[in-house]
Amino acid sequence: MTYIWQDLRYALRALAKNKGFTTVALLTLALGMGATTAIFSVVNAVLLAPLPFAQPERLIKLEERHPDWASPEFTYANFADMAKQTRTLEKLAAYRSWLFTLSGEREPENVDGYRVSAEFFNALGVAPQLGRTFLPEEARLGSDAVVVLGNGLWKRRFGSDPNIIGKTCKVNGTASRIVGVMPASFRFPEDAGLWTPLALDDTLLTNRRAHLYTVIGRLKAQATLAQARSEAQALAKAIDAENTGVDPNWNAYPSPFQERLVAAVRLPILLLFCAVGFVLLIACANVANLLLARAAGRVKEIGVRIALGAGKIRILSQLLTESIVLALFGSALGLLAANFALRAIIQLSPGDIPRLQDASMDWRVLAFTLLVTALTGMLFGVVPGLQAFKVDLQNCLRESRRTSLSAAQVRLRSALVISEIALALVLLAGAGLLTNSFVRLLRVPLGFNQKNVLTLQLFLPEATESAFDTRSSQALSAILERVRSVPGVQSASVVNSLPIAGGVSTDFAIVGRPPVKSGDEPSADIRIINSDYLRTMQIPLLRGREFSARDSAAAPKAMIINQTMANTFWPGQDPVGARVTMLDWGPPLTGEIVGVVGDVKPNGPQEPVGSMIYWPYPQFPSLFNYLVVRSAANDPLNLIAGIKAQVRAVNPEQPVSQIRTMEQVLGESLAQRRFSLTLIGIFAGLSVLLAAIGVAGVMAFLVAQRTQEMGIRMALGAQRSDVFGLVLRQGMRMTSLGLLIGLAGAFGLTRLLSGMLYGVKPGDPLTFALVSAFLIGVALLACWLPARSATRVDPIIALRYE
Amino acid sequence: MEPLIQLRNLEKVFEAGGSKFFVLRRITLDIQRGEFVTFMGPSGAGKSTLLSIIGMLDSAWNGEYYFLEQPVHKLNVKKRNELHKANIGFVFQSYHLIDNLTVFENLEIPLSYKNVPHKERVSLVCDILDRFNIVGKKDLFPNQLSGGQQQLVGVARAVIQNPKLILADEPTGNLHSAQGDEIMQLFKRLNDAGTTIIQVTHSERNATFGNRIIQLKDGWVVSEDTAAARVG
Repeated sequence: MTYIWQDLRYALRALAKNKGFTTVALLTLALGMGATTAIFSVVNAVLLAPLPFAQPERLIKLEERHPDWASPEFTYANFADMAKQTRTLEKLAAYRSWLFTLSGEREPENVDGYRVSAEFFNALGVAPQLGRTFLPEEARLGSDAVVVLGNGLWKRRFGSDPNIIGKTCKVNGTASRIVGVMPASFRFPEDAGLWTPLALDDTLLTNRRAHLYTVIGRLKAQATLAQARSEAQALAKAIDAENTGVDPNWNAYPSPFQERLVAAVRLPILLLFCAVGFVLLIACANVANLLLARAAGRVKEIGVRIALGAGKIRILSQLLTESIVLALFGSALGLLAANFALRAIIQLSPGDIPRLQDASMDWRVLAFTLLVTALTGMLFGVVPGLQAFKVDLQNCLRESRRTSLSAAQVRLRSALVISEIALALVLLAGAGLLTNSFVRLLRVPLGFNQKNVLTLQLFLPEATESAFDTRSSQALSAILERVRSVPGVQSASVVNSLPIAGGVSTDFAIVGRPPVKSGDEPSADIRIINSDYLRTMQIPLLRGREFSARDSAAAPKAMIINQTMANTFWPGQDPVGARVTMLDWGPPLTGEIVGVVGDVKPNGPQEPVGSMIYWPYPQFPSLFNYLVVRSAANDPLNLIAGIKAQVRAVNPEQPVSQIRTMEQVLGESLAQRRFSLTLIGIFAGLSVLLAAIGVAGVMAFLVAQRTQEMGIRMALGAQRSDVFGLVLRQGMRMTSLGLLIGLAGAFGLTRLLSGMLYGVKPGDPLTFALVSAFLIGVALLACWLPARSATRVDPIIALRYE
Repeated sequence: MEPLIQLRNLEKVFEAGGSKFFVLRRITLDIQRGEFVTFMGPSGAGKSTLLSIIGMLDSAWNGEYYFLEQPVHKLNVKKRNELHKANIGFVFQSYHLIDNLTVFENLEIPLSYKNVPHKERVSLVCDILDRFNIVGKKDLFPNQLSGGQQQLVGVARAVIQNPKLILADEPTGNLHSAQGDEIMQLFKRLNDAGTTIIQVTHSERNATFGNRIIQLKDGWVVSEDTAAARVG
């Protein structure tokens, strides 16, 4: 034990004495460890930490799956049948996101919330902090005016009132009784501010086409996931047999809830973790290189220690103590850096990464850091330690002069730098491909002009889910009329879902054509728009006419379709005048095509354009709406105050939320890509910086080793440019080898990115060529300083050196 | 009493490019306990190599070597190290003090490698600091000492473990003559107190401090000369 303290003391002193070495090594490690720890905190919070529910491993998500249907949501009727008949699952619950308007004593506001079936809170196994959750009888229309508040909303809007249970608040215009408040730790789904019972009318209770509900539940105590899956499949078939002609190819599929929750982000996060692992490896290689250089300077010391009786174990333990102490300090700095980095990552994140907000430095992160510290300490400490035993004792104890590395040691140092360059190239290639994709996405024609457009969310609280009446239409018309009069407004309209931001869709049938087999009907995205929408968004009208005042609620149903739908179903023909029936939403609804417009990207720039049907708002009023306003001037945000005033003038209780320019909406649709790109870009930048330090360090060392040789060459007539070229060539040999290995690695590893790329293939030669050229440039710069110092060798001094 | 060191037909060969180069040839000699032996000879004669072999720093040689009657040529590495640790102290031309350690810690190092308990180490180091009159330097680092002072610490380090044999390779090579004389006087006193000393030197003057001179040339022992012979 006493020797450990002794080694520790000497290690600390040695680090304090070699300030240059220690500073560079610690900064390198802090960068590597900091980045790794920060990303591990994300992995831990998002992928590893158990969900904060009772027995989270038994919580499942039940999805409807269709051969060519992407959305996993259930129809209510299928959910209800499944809940009744299952023997392997229990506490099945359905829920749906909803935008609620809270009004009353305070300023009206929109709150994201969920409408949940009776078993929702039981399925999650979380008790309320105050009051209770919902009773089964509250899931009936007329008895559903109750609300459970989220902890944040309770604190913010209700001042943490401990006596709030039993009081009422106005939710969507209805006085609702507050029956419970959930604890602060309960945030499910993440954005939920409140919950109300899922009370439906008969239309939706029996609907087997509207896929609107997320379903969760629990595996029963004795049941396995495999049993649940086979039962769900059998039940889906049985339900389908009883309801022929709806959708024969569907299947029900239960999966562990946590797995489904993070399914979309698992790959990007693991890729980031890989990337940061590369940065850490490069950092370790750099520190190992520094330690090797230092070990070369300590050959004599090690020789003396051996001559004084030190065994190999003692020498190795001392060198390892030094490297582990270095790693510990590096990790401590890294933890500090990680803390900042993690906050920055959370700030940067697009907001749709589940549980990222919970990421913190918990015990798992500390244990991980400690493990990585021990491993890295050993990794970069053992190699120089083992090298130290290869010293020639007789030589190093004689009256010598200058220590030099053996050819094997030089090879080892070069190999470390070569691997750094290879790893950096893989990261750069990944970052290059993502940048390439991002630039292409920014250039994708969206089908409308996003410049100078302001968007505002308007939720009309008076209506109910299934009561599509004219009141909301009239309210919106009044608002629109006033908004158009605001100075600076060029045009204004309303749409139920913004372009590129996703939305709802429906299966449809073309009147007069042979019926399509059930389940094989084509589907189209739906946009409900008011007149002037096309002009406001500058979507070109290709055929027919726009909607106008004549498309009132009482007029014959009219629709506009996009060019893709026209080309797909009426190739070479004019679709204007044809009739189309919308199948999924309540009773089939048929309308006549009155116009064809240009394609607009419905779900983000990367998604292909499919069929799209536009309905006139008066004929199909929607609860969720966006006001879109084109500004005559450059900054549409200047219009906000005027627009809000006009909305309040129509209805003082009408909240306006999510005020963004269309360019911000576009930015948000690319946020996750930007997030991954930013992080991978930062890691690639770090790796290049570290690799450049590595190249410069090794080249400087090799130049120092060859001082005498340089002197001889210059004495024999070599010009300074010859010496300069000699050093550059040596550096470039290492760089080229690193590039070759890196290119091979990048070719294989960037395939993992293929899901995140757009318009560019994983092995894109242009990207690879550009990043290789960039890395060569950096390596040239890194060799430049050592090469310049080599040209300044004074032959007389160099030859006297020995 | 058996000699401290017995060498029989000891040879060391380097092989390079298919040729053999003999560094030491058929060395046969005995060194008695309490002798002060000087190896002399021109550069490349094999003096330092012979010293390294006697010090057990070099194990690549042929022949027989008995130290304290133990056959070094038959011992495994571990046993050799133990024998070396227990009985031999080194003094080098360029002192080879460890830069990062204070004088005190430099003196403590060989004791720690012999697993001497901490308390005993401290007491032994204090003793030797006192004996060598360097108590005032104990907290200084080597680069804060003069060459003579560094070599004094080097000798103290060799002596602290009370070795039976001190091997000194050009111990005054980096010192001016006054400092060199001091160190040689110190060796003489240690030898008078019973420690066997073998030194390698080019200096005729340093050789006079010993009682036996062995001349080497091209790896061979070419002559031996004792103080008695010189007097005679």
